[in-house]
Amino acid sequence: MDRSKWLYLISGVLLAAMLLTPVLSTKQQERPQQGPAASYDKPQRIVSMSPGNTEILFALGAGDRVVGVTSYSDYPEEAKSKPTIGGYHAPDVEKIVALSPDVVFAMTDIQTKYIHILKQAGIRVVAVEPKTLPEIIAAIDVISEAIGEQDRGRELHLTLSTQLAQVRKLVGDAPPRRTFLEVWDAPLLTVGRQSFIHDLITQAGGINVSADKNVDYTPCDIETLYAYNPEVYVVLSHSRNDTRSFITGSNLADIAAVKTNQVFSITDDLLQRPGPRSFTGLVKLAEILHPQEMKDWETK
Amino acid sequence: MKHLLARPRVLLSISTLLLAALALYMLTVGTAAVPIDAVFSVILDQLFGITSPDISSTQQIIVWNIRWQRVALAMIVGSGLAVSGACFQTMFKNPLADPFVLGVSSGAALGAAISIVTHRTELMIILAFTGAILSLTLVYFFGQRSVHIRSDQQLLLAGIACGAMLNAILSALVALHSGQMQMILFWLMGSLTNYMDSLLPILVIVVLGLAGALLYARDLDVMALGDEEARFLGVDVAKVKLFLLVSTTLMTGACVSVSGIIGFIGLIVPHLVRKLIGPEHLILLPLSAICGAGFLLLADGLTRLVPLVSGIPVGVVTALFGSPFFLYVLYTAGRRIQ
Amino acid sequence: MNILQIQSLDVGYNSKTVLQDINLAVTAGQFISVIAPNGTGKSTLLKAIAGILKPMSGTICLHDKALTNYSRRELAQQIAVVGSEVTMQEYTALQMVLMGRFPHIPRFSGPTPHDHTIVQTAMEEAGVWDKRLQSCSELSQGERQKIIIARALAQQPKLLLLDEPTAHLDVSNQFSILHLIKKLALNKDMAVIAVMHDINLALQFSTDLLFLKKGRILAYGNCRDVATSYNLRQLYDMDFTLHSDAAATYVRPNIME
Repeated sequence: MDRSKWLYLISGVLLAAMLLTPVLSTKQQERPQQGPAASYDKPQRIVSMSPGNTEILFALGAGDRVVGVTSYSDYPEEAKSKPTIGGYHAPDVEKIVALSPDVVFAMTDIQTKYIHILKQAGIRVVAVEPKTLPEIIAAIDVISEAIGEQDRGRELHLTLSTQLAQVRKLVGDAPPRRTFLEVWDAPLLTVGRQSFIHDLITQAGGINVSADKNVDYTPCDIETLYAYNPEVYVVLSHSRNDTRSFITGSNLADIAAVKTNQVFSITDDLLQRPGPRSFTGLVKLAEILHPQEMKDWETK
Repeated sequence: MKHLLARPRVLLSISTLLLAALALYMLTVGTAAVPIDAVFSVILDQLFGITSPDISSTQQIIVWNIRWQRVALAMIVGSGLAVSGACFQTMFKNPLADPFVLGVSSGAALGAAISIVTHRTELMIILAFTGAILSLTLVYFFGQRSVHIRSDQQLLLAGIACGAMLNAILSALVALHSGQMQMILFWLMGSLTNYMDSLLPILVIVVLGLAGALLYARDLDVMALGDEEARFLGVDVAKVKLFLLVSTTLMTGACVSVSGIIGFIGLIVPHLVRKLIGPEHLILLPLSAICGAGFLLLADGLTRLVPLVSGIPVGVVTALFGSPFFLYVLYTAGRRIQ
Repeated sequence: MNILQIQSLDVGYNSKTVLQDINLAVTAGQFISVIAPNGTGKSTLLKAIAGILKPMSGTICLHDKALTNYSRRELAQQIAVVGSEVTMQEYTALQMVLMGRFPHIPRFSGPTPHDHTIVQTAMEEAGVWDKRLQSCSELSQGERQKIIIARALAQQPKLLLLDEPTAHLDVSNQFSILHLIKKLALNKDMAVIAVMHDINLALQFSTDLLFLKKGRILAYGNCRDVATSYNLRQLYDMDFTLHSDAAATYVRPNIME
């Protein structure tokens, strides 16, 4: 009986140690010493936790310094060969830490808890979540400052804001066109006014027919679509061979968009990934909505 | 083995040691390749201050901040859910009862979903916990009409109804906010990666819950005979039930709010332990806690060891293994009746 | 001193009175069999005495103290109830009987060697000590009933209440159990009130009979005094013939040809 009492005691103490120590020692770790202080101003090891951030980083010319990206970071082409850290909904924190990054770029809203643990682990995290085109430009400013590419950042800022201003000048005076944007066909999904795409439509000279919905994505049914009677119907295509859409599958010949042959398709990446390509998306959308006004636009 | 089963204290000690060993092993498992000696160096450093020069701070962070927290969380949540399940099975005299049978999980899920759709994810744990407590209050209000003999049934029915209602609200919320659907779904499927500032609150709640249940262990034994028989033997059935209901719900609520809905631990582990050492609660409860902790550690470890299932949330893994076992129990129970 | 004193008791469920104007005094050594047609409320009487059912009017006193002044635990230290439990449990016989010590063991401590001695004695008296490590679900009806009785004995009650204790037992088990109970009533300074369905068994083992009819006491007293053909006719609306021999009295209903 004596021996078993010792057994009891030791196992209890061990278990207590295992449980209590992480609980009690919430001290912040010191930042891992990676190299000279210059790595703060010009970080050499960058991790991106969203496809949009990846594109921004590459557009700023820091692509070679990127050491980890999320699984759907497929643009530009070089990004595909970078080590992945999981999806952006559930990134693998261990992998991120193992990459010994100087800075990690995350998304404010859905990655809160991961930002938290990374910061607790002493890793520098910069969080952005642009919801509108101007916010993308602001995000680019933040990111370029953080990675020490201020010059490239200013350049990109100028290019993109000029693009935006020019589009606004061309289409701003034309009567906005009622637009329905199909995000997904089954179930039929469109965008509310909290969506980033809503901002794109508005800037491109359109009116989002489902702007009354104060959410980002919202389902829609055929009757409501009929009631909306949009002038333009834009479908997001999700891959090169994706030609499915709700509108082609149904017999909605009476909708204005169908009657006047105003059904178009855009690659989803251009509209769903807040980054430099969103401005390309803006231009494409503007060309769809106001072909007359945009006909003099030079494609670079 | 029989000799061991006759000495419950020894059995408990040995299982605790095994659990500690398993937890230590789990610290070596992960996507980042950290060699075993590095893991031990980190452990020695953190526990006893014996610093080792050749471990990089990166390895330290991985093992200590990330893995250890996950391991500790797995043990806390696993034990909390197993003990709650054991209590509920006895309290309701229903072998199919689990910690979520009173709709606590639905309330917590709704709370978490609200935090997600209102873009206040920093409040997720608090809101989930609030949801859990509110749902219990609702269930208890509707389920406890009088000190009737049939109030158990009423409580269970109220739990089902409230759970259904809360689930419906949750589904409506998800449908209206389809953009956050994936995030909500991920939460629902359960994960041990909901990192938080400190595990202390949940550890305290689970430890208190277990202590409370142990306090009434002998009452639970007597209650297993039936409410009336228990009263005849001097058990204050109403008081014990109320106390256990509240404490197990707090435990379950805390577990669910930090880890989402991890099913089947509350259901399977008590049955397994009962088959091993019988229904005496003084041993059933602590051993269920230990086995629950180990079970969740294993399930979580699987998601990290086997690349095929690495993306799968841990709540799915427990269900994957839980369902066949559950069917097995049904099968053998059916055979025995014949 | 009376162990139990019931005065002018009215008791029932949901404002429907089942038993009316019950008066009863019980002392140690008595083995009272309660005989009544189905649905009269025999179980109701037991529940009221056990403190489970609150009286609508009247009083029940245990050791000259009203039942309502006892806590649940204190009551269980004085009164043990034996039903015909049908729940199959995986507990061993020993664990089952040990539960009988529950009201006597304080909350923060466990069973003492004294408790274990009491349990062993109870089990030996009931004849189930050799089965102590077996799971209850593996034992026969008769053995299970004996275990439940052993559990009641382990409570060391002053008053033992039994609700049809021999309902599912074969003849030899019936006799051995009732014999045991009678012996204990006499030796342990205990009173026994048993609801019996078989009047002959009651006559063989009890000291007193209580006849209930339509919620009231029809007759109460010594077996010989109460078991008359007149009382039996009142009770069951049937004619009975009585036989006596050296051992006991038997009643036999007259079957109409």
